[in-house]
Amino acid sequence: MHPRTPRIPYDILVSIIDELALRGQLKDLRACSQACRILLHPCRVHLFSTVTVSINAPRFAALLNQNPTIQVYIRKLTYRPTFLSEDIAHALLPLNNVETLSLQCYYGHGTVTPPPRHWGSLTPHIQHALTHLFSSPSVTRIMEYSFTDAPAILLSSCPNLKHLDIESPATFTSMASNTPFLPPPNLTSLNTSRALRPAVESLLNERRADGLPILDFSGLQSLTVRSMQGIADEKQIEQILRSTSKLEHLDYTGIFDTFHATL
Amino acid sequence: MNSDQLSASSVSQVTLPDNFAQALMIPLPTLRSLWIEWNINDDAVSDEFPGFINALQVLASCPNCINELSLTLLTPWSHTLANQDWEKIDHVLADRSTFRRLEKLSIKFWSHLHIDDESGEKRMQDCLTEFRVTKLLRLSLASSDYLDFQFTLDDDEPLGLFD
Repeated sequence: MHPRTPRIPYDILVSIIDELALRGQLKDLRACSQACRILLHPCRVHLFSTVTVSINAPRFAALLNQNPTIQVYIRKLTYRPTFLSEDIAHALLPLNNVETLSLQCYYGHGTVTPPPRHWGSLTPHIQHALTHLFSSPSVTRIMEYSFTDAPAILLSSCPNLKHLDIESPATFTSMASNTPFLPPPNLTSLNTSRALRPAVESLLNERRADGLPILDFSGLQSLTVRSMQGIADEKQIEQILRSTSKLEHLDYTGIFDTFHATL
Repeated sequence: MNSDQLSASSVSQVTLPDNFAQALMIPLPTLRSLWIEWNINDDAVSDEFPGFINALQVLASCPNCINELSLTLLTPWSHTLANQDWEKIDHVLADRSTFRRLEKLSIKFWSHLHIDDESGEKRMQDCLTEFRVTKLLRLSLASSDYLDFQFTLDDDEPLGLFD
């Protein structure tokens, strides 16, 4: 055995690395990743599994440019479109293992201007990169979706989408698309707890250019809704309930106060 | 009136809870778990509890396979369920012909006001006595075989039901 090879079975080493990750010991994971070549892969699995891209976009793009193999480790990507440089488009395009895509378009801590929610305000390169990401077969969860006037085909082209978390003021348009149409994704879980009625209405009623709905709700098993004085009212809830025959979990929150009633 | 145009003065007229009850009349034969939360944020709103109870009654009136039921009421301190409201909830839950598959029941009664002094605690106990909450729930549970039950008045001070 090579003197510098650890004398511990590999699977035990991996278990130790997994335990470090479970305990959130990032500093130790970083140290381990540089201690021995054999530890690099199991450490990177955890170190790069969750990535948030916002104002660090240029650094992120540079990192991927220098270490292209890192992209395969990224399984959860949070994108805050606060930085609309072309760097971000280059960084997003190669990602093809992302399972959970979170889009945070809101005022964050220290945010001076709101991130753009309107699809048309994104540059064509970023639109292209996001469209590419949405159509990745690896994506199964989309969180905090709140783009306005995005083409209906954007969500609809996510072939293996199972869970959608939609927020206001998301809306969709049925603009023509050159993308070959696939069947609408068969959703199993929908969370509309942060979406007011226009967003949910748009999701339910807008159609793709080929006339099909954006999503297929027939296999929906879990529904989370929040109703504020009728703003997200019973018609949308009823419409969703009627479209599925497999619902197993329903989480309903009714909010009642004078503030929301006057919205 | 368009619900988007509701004014503060007309809030007590909102009948959304009943509409939700209406939505629940759709057969949901595969439903296993149902979580309902009523979140009442200020004193200007009233008369919401009947809607909450209606939803529960509608659900109980349909054949269902629910095995997990969670009811949460989040209210200002001034809002408390009246005796007859608790009796209705008690009646629905105690009837073993309705929720036949129920294995896990969670009832949480939260107050926005933090009870952090003796007078607050006394007010809470007075409320419980006045509305006979523990007595009613104890009655319904005595004949049931619910596996799990929690009743909470305050996030820091979960109340032992049989204390």
